[in-house]
Amino acid sequence: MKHLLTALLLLTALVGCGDSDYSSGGETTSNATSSNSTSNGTASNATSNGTASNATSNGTSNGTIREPLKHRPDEVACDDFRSSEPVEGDFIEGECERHEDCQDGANGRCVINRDFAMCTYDQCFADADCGDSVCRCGDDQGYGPNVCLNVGNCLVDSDCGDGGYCSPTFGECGDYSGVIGFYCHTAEDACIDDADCGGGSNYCAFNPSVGRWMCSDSHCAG
Amino acid sequence: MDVLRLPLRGVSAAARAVLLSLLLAAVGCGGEEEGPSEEAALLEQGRRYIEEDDYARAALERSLVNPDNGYSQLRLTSYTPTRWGALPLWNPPVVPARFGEEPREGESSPLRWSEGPWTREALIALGREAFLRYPTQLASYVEEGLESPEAAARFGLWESAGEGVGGVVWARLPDGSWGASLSCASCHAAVRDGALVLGVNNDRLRLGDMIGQASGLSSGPASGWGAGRVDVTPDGAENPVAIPDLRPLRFQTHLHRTGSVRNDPVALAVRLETLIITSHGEAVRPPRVVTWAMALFLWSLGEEAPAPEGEGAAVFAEACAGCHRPPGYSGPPVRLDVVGTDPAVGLSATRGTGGYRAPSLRGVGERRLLTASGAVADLEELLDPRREARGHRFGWALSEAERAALLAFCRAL
Repeated sequence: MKHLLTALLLLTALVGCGDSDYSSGGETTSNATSSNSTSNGTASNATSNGTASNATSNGTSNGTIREPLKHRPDEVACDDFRSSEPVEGDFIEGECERHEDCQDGANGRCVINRDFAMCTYDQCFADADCGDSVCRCGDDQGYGPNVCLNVGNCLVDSDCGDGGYCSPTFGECGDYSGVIGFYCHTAEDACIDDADCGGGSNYCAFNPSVGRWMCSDSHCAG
Repeated sequence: MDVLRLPLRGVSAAARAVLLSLLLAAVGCGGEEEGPSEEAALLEQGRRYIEEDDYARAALERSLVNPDNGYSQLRLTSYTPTRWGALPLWNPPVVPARFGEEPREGESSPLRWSEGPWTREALIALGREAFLRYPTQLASYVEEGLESPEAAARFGLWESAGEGVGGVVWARLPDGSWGASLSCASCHAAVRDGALVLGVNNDRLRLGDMIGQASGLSSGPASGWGAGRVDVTPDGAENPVAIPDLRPLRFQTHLHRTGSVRNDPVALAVRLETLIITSHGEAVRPPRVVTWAMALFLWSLGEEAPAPEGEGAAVFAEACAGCHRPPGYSGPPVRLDVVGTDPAVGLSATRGTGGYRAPSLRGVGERRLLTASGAVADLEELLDPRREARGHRFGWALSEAERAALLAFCRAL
């Protein structure tokens, strides 16, 4: 009886261990993928032959890229309008109480985000202010500042060749990031507009890992 | 069995069975160093994960607690040889980021490894390197923290003379440019007492503030995350979670705050592999030898320690062990209404399971940002009935003496 109990308990302990499944055999026959196992660490970089699982459109018709809903035919000069509305709300901390407190940059404004009052400044008013990048204009309400975007490969459509389009893209954390840069569309794109991506939280974004536009519901890694 | 006879005298057969079962479980589940046969079996698991798609797929399916949530559905649909398995491999040349230095071609290299079969030590070494250098997610906003040591400190990027800044690497992109990227070490490493500790949660990291700064704001939509927290669920809801401490990972029965993945080394490798795929917009995939090596490295961080003794052990058994079960002091998801903490991510359509896992308490004495949302600063606050953060009221009815004993026990885990 004692031995039976011991055997039962040993079995119980084994079942309780997560690894037990792997030593029991009976798995499906091998379907080795040599690209995973034999690389010497110099595995090729991303190429355009990847199959985009979420692609619904290559955005091309007879080699011509369809016109995106959002693109930049010409440089846009940003105005210096910033809301003159007084700061409102009950904030418990912050670096300012009124616009006049924000004197460390151009066109300073005191705005509130999540009960925290902060100063924002316009970094630019034209692309020329940003060197080789786009000056993204602030939001319509005048709170968001004009910002130099630090990634991208075009300023306007003509930078993308004849019939090319230069479009804004979200960043790696999706709508948390907002527009982070402008990129040319290519004939290898999996999408042109958000509508190509099946709705929901999906959107069309430039994927720098492969250098083309793809559908995404990208979010911060974790 | 003679060893057990004396202390168990007078104890019922049923109670003996339970005690012996716990002992055997402790021995069989990591209570001792693995012998040659265990190591060989582990390496064989890795070989099969790397080489056999069906084996990896089976591990995925076995690991998913809620096959209906978004996390599971995406993987069940896409973790196949013809979808994610057909994506190009991603192992670009990288350069660890340094203040004020542009990446230079001559200093960059991809991860390198020798042909298999691999030893465990070789894999752990590769996994450590990948933890620090593999570009887990391109993140242009992180350049905000690379401008100066002051900026890095403001955003919580650690600095190490040997390993660079914040685990950030420059990755060579297909168009020839360099893209700033997070590595695992960006979120899961920190400087403690002057030394870089791998695996620990970076409770100072302000990813949300960096994202806001890149948008021209000193604060932005993600700034509400605060330090050490990030929203990782693409569910349209703002439900950031505390970055977890990965050091006790081998003791976790489940992965994710919601416990949506059953944990074992292969399941962990699949979890890492699919994390990297989704973090790159499902455009590329990592070499599986890299994710297997990272899994073994993380597995190696868990330090064995004997169960503490003393008065606190009895208090723990009464107040905590129902969820935090020895030997890992971990457990499967506990219903949200039972835990009582902020249910936001537990209700997520992406990772929800209806509960929160009981995290391993190994090392909890020095852990910061407790509970799924990180609303509780540390262990002392967790057990303090006067705290403001809601939920997890377990242990609040203890006497001061019992609480002190329990704290001492937990700090010794």
